[in-house]
Amino acid sequence: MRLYATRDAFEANLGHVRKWMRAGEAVVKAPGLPYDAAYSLGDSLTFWRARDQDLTADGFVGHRRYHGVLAPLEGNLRVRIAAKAGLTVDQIYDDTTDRETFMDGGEGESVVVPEGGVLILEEPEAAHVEAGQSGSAVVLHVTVEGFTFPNK
Amino acid sequence: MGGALPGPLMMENDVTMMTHNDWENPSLTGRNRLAPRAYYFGYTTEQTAATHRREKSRGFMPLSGMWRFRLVDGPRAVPSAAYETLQTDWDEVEVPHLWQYDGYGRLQYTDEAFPFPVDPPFVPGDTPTAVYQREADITAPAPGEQIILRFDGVESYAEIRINGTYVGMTKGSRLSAEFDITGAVHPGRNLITVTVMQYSDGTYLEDQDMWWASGIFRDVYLLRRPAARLDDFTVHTHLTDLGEAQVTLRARATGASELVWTVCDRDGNEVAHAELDGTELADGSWAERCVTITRPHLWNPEDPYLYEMRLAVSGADGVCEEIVPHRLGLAEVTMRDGLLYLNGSYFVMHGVNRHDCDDHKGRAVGMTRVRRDLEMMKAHNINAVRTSHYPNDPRFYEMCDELGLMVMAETDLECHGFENVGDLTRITDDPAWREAYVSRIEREVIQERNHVCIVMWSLGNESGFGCNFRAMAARCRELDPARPIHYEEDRFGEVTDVLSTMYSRVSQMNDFGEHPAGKPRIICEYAHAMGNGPGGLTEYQRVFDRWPSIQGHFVWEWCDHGVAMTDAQGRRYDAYGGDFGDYPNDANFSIDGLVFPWQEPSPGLTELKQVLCPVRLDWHDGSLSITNRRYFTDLSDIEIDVDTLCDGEMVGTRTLTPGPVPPLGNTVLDLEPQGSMRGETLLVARVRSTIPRKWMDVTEPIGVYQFPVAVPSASTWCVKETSHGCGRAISVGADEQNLSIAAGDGEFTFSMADGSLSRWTSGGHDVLAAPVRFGIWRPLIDNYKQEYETLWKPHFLDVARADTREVHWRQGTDSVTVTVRQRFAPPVMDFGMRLELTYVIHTDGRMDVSVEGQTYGDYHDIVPRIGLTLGVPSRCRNVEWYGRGPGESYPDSRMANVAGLWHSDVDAMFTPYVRPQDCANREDVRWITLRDDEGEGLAVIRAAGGPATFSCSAWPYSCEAIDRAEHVNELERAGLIELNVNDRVLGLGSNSWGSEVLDSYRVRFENCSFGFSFLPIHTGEQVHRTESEA
Repeated sequence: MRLYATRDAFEANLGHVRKWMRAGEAVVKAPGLPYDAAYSLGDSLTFWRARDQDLTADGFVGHRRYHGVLAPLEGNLRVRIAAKAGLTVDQIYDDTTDRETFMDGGEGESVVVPEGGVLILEEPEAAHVEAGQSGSAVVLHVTVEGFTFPNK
Repeated sequence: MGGALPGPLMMENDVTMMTHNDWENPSLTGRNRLAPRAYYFGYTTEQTAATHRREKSRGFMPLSGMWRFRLVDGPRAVPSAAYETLQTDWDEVEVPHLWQYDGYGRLQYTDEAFPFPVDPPFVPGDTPTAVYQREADITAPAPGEQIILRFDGVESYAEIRINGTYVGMTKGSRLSAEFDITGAVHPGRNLITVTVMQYSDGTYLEDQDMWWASGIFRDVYLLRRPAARLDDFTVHTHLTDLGEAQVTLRARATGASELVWTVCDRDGNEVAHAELDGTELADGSWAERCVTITRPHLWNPEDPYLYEMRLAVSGADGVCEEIVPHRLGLAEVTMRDGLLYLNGSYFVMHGVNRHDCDDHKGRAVGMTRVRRDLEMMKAHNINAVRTSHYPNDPRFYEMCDELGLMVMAETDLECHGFENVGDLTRITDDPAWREAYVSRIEREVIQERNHVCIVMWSLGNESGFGCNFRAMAARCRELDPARPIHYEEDRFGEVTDVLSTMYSRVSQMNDFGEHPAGKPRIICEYAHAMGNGPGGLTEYQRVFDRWPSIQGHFVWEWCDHGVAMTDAQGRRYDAYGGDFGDYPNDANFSIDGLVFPWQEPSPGLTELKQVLCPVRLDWHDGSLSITNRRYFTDLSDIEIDVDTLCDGEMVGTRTLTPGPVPPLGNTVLDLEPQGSMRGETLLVARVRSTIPRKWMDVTEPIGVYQFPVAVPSASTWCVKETSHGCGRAISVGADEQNLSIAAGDGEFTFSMADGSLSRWTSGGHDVLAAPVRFGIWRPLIDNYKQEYETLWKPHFLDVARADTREVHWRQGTDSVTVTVRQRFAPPVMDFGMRLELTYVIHTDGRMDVSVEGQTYGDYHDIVPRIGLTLGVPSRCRNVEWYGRGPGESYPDSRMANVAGLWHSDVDAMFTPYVRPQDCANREDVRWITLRDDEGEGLAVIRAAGGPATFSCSAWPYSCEAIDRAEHVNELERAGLIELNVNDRVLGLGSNSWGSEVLDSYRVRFENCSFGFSFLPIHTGEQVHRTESEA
């Protein structure tokens, strides 16, 4: 997990990497887009603007080929992060969604992603977005591939 | 060379390069070129009109054929005499052609890089320039008659002269150009001269991923248009709520007193008739009529019904001067609630991207080959084609109308090379280039808009987004308000009607489908089919099928761009970038098609056919679920042949008919397996259409499915026992160098130095030609390019080797066990795998080999495979296996091949990818045998207690030789057969440009444990099932 309290901190740390540069552009672009409509910038990510209440789920969600990224636009977001290895699988991994879900038995560490901040989920982790405020956030899926990823 | 020449070709330059050269002026797209019009021909009789053969049209004179030709270094080097007289000492070339394919100049291949300095609108002063000459005998035009010289493709800039007089100029390589030469010709013999420059400002808009080549590459011909003639027409269909077709004709004419419009059905019954009189058509005005066709037979790709339409134009005397035929398809594309509909029916485009490509002529592709391309698409369940990235020969669209292929009609526009200078939108967002952009969509739409096959327009490819695309979209919509507009780089749909991406991964497409954005979504390129692959088509299709908003997917691309060559030994190979000394180049990046250069399907196309099968079958517990994946037609024509297989042998067969299951409907039939179920029982269902098609025999399946019914427990495979040494005692001899074991009729020799099995004979025949060894490498496939460059090469995985640390042996009562401990590791690095290979030789002469691997160090990423390799004598080339077949398959590309008993030979199993690479793998193999012509050889099965199946490949070449060869003619035979029996094989993916291997098909460098049994097999013996020893 990487948590950046501000967009500036995020860009200062990762803005030199093209996929994260694109992620920053997406976060800027998102407020002008309709809710729950997915778009892409370049080839390395998809993103959409979501209302907080649409992000909450019954359990943990993890990915393998993409980083799950959350960037609250309005209001803070509380997210619990846990290592997949310590969780009970609910739905097994699916290549077509890059998603696997896990039961929530209270595991993990709870973090608050502040408005304007950025949370990056790593591959061995799963996240459970807990009941948020009546705000909104940008959800991004950013490839785990590295520097050499061909990218528009 | 050079001299004072008439016409714009020699307009003055100055040293600042602020020139007014026509070929470096993007605001000038042509001189004296006639306004674009629909593609049609006028005929003098109904009989000739009914042929739709333009050769029979009024005054048609083909000018393709032999032309005098001279290539010079730049326009200033054009000899002045070239325009005045026929140069009989020049070479002759056959037009249409691209001159580089005829040995003039040099072919060069780049994906996106411009092959000259980026300095728009300027091009090199020595740009290759060709002068074409030919004579034509032309009779004097009748009063009012118009003589038109027409080019359907000249790359990239052409100036035309008749008898030395400048006629005009055109740009836009793959857009038709017409010139009125009535005033330039004289009765009798006329000299036609065409000066063609390879590069012009237009080249900055024609940077498609293909060979740089130039010339008059499509047909050139003369038309004689009568005094009373049709100047243009459009025809558009709107479907009413009552199911009627309202068909609107708009027409312009010259000198016409009357224009009669008729539409007849296929049986010749007139279904519509309207007349336009001369007053409506006066002064070249557009006149309009609308007719209603009740109970129309609508066109769709599954039932491409075409009406016969005629426009008969009469002159002032009332005599019909020309009949213009048109094959009219009635269809309407609409959008509702973010989805596309054709004739009110939801549909999805299952498509491919197609370049014009011929292995001998490049883009100067003949129409016979084009038709075969399209028929192959139909035969492989493809229903759509994107004309990437330029308009095709006008006859292409006629064929798509006829055959039933939906077309994403893309115009001739790509300026991708500006990406290399970090400014992709440099001219896209420059108003000075507006006309150059807009004219390209305008010329395409006006010429092709009457074709029912076109379901959407595409503004071009990979050129960024900016003001010129906004202008293009506006003009396109003005010319054809009905059809949607596509352009991939308008990612947020500012001006386009469909949202599009390219190479989005499977889960990204799922994101788009799960969170639709209010417009239909298309992936205009995916599954980069370079070399062996693509893998992962099944998962992509699951996502496409899951979400209604995803309405089109187009595989990149249809055909390899290889150039057919013959080496000094007379062997064929196919050339790619760099093979002509061209630099810079992108090597074999355009060898990325589903079809080989010689126009045969690759395994990737076979897989795509299955993934797109329009009839989906699922079987559970005696019920066969049949889903119609067609959008317009039912399943009345479908038969399903179902075989019951027991251990690969057919024990029962029947044919089912699902009946008229409606589009996207489903039915369930009872289906129980027939015959013996004592072995592994499988149902194999082959789907056929009973409707004869030009492109497919009725016996040819359109898809095949397999369903497991029963797998016996507690059984394994063995070779039928015979008198060959059965029951003999096992004996051992050992010295410092070797360990010799006699078991059954077999003799085994192990090296005590490295533990390798150096010799194995059975019944006096060599079973082995090279030792068994552990391996992780496979000949590199193009789709592993990224992995190789960023992961494997930096970790030296391609040269990882085993070295032996210990060799032990012990003798039991009925076996001898040889244990070899090795370290498997690459040089330079500090990771690897500790191996223990255990060979168990049994008294009956079979050998079990088990592998235990423990990794050390910090590399745990993907590897090409985990398995064993051994050499088999080259005489044992006859291969039989029980597993997926008959074609090659990989973990993520195996739907087209079903388990059964198959046989082939090692040479035939080797797929001749243009650049040699890993191939020939068979998945889910239960057993495999390799025998000589006498039936002697080797069988391989999984060791007892492990998984039942494995992956297997056999090549007549070594892995190293395949990796080394750049072309197939460079392959050096190994003198043995390299047999790979693999515990796991990495999926193919399509990451030559696109999708990495999906997680489920990844093979990681992790601890491993697996084993195989190797059995000598003799004449008359077969592998068969037996009770398990366990």
